[in-house]
Amino acid sequence: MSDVKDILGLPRQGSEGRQEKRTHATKSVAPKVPKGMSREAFALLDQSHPIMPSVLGQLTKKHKAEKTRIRSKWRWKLFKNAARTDGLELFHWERIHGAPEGKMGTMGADGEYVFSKYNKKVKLHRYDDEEYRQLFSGDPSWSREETDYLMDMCERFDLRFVVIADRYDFKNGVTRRVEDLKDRYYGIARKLIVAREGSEKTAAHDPIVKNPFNADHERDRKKALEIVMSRSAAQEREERAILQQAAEIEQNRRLESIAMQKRAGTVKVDAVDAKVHECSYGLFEKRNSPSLCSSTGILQKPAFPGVFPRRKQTKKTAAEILAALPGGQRTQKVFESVLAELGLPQLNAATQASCSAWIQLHVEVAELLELKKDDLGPANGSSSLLPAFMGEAMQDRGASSAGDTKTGAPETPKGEAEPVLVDDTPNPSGRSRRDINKRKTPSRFDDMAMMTPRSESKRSRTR
Amino acid sequence: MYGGDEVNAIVIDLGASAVKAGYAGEESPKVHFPSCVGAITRDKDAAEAKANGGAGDARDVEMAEAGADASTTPKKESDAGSKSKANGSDATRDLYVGHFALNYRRENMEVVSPFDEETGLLSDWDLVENIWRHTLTDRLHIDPTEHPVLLAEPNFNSKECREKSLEILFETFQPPAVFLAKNACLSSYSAGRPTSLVLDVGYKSTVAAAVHDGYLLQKSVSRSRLGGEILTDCMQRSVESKGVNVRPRYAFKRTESKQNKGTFDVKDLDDYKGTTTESYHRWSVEQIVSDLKETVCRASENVFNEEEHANIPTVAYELPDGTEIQVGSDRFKVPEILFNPGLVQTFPGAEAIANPGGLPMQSVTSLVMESIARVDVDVRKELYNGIILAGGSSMLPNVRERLEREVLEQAPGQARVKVIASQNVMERKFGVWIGGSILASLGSFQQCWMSKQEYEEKGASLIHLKAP
Repeated sequence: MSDVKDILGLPRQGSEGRQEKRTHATKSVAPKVPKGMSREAFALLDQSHPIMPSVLGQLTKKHKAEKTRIRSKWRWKLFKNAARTDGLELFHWERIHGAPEGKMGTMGADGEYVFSKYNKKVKLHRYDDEEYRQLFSGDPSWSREETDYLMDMCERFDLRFVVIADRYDFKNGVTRRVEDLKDRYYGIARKLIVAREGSEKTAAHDPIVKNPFNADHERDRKKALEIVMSRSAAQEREERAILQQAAEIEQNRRLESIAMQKRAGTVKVDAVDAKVHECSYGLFEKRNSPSLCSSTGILQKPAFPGVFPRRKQTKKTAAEILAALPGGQRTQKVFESVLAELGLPQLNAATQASCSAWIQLHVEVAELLELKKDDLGPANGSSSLLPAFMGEAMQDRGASSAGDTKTGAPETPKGEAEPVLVDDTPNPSGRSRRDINKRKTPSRFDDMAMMTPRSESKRSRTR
Repeated sequence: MYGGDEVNAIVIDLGASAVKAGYAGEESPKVHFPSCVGAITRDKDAAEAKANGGAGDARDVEMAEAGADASTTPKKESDAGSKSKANGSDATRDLYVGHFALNYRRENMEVVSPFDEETGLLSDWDLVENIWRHTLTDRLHIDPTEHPVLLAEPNFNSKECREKSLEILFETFQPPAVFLAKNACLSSYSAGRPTSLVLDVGYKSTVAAAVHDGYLLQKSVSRSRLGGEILTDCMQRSVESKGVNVRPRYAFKRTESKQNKGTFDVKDLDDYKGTTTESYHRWSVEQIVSDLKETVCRASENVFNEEEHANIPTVAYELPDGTEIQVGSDRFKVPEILFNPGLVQTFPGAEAIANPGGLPMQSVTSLVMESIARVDVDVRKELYNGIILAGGSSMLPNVRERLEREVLEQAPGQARVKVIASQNVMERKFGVWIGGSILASLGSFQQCWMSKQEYEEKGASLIHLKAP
């Protein structure tokens, strides 16, 4: 029992124990431990068991940290605030020395209050009586007093128009909204600047002059915004659902029309081509590079990226068309003679327009031959292959210089294309007798429309 | 503090339920006591001239016995003592300000509030002066002539009220400088936003106001009768209708029974009957029920459904006299009043709830929507994005989430709705005071004070220009 009491440091005999403990604590910290003996063993020998701290090391470390800590001194000092007009002098705590780097003190370098510089005012444009009389007396809805009141409010609230409109209390019964106030103020400011500078041109550097305040625009915008804001979330959800349905319906319709064309066999572009520009018949296509037509006239992407060797490709396509002609050598010869008659055995200028036209020409001649084969026997000469209207084209061609294929190429196909071009819009003058032989279905030739004079500007793109 | 300058200003926030005061620059107010004052109307020849004693700082309400022992020299503010303003023929009052003084039951002591019932503004200026004196001299132990004072005022404060506050302050206490700031602006500063919609769920009323760029938009202020007082009232009716009699602390005595150590016997006292006023009785009971409400109630996540919550497990609460009561669906029903004021009618005897100011009983959601609708269209989006929840009664759990959900439903789809409420209990309860503390300790604010010199030169109406 007494061991336990010793360990705990409890007094052995009642009340005297307290004093004993105290004297123990003040007497000594540690009796010397003989070498070789462990601390615990030695403690067993001793009668008393003072409890010793074993973390002496940490204490010294703390002491060091405390020494090196910056101790700053402060004093209660009177200070003047330059931003005040009445000379009120308040007291505040100021650091005397020992400020750590980077911490801003409240008194600046020359004893001035650091925060005075934050007393910034907005630049206000004010008029004097003379200017008012000259420039602003015209407006009937704004009296002089009210305008003065407005300018005072602008100064008080630093041009915060929302707050000004809220606190505006001029007793003349008219409620002024934010845009009315802005209109008046910016109108005044603008006229003042212009008048002071001299003319509008010299004053144009100022943003108020450059972008005049448009009150009507603001009112409309706010009305629209109000409508949008007043729709609750439930209404928005409804609206979105309706729009979604409409979009789906549109999509379905488009898919159907494209499917229809596919069936007719004359689809030029994929259904997903975003450039399909829809009219009621749905097929007026805008295409970037018709010279990429293959032999069947279907638009395709070039097989390889990079520079597109147009002339080579065109020749290749033409050769394909030739080769695909049924009937072998004979028809090919006929084909070539037709081309020669038209004056286009080869391509001179390989522009996008002319190449595509040339290819189209090939395609059409091939079709023509096919049709002719049905109607006429092989006995017919080549001359009768060319219908009468071709004569005009040849004359045109003859008129223009041979080397000027730029105009030549579009012209002849135009000459041929005019009857061939089948506009989808019902055109009373479109179908003449010359068109009898021509296909009546909407064809791919509408890229010929690109070859009309309207599209000649496209030529400037290429080369 | 970055941008700060310690001028040792004092910030005082006199609210309908409690007064908060302290030094600017600190995290929380040092002084916090009820703003109701005990008043005993003194007859002309009443002879009690009790000396002014020091007030203790005990916040806990003590039982009547202990109160009697400690407060042998009760705190007494006599308005005839220091300045002889009293007209001889009028009955003057002895006023007892502060937690300690108020909780000791005195004979014929009425509990009065400095606020006017109808307008919600300060009207009893004697009381106000005494409250200020108690704060500055007795609780903070300062000399008012050395410290600038920042007062927090209601959002709908009238010009006359402001001028009168200024007058009393400057004439009686003579601080070097004064400033008046609107509650909503201060709440906004404490949340760190210059533009926000502040919803202050207070004791006597709830106020929603928009703050734009640090300035209050007066036209957007909208008030509702709902508040902590009504919630406590409904709670009380509900508890009493279940047959429980809530006894105020002075009405009973608990002694440890001789037979079983650890249990207490309750004995009804009846020496208080006849001399205790009705208002005091009501006030004492209200304190107890208020604690019950704060402990037990929580707002429900969705719209409160009576049948659903009928099966909620009840929570036990022990009243001061030892009675244990079980609170069930009332836990959710009472806070639901904030969102659905119609529920007030379902509490027994609720028709008796007074509405002197004629304020509408609007739900907090509709208050928010109304306030935003009154503001210019361009600002609305920002307001939806920063709805600040303030006020003691907003500290019930789940109020923030519930409010966010309700506003989200009614708000336009364009706007992102965010309700900001600090998690820290101190910050929500003392939000206005903390905003004042921040404001008065900023370096760039020091040029905004209205000094005594300006007051003497230009009069009290200058405050409208200086503190718009």
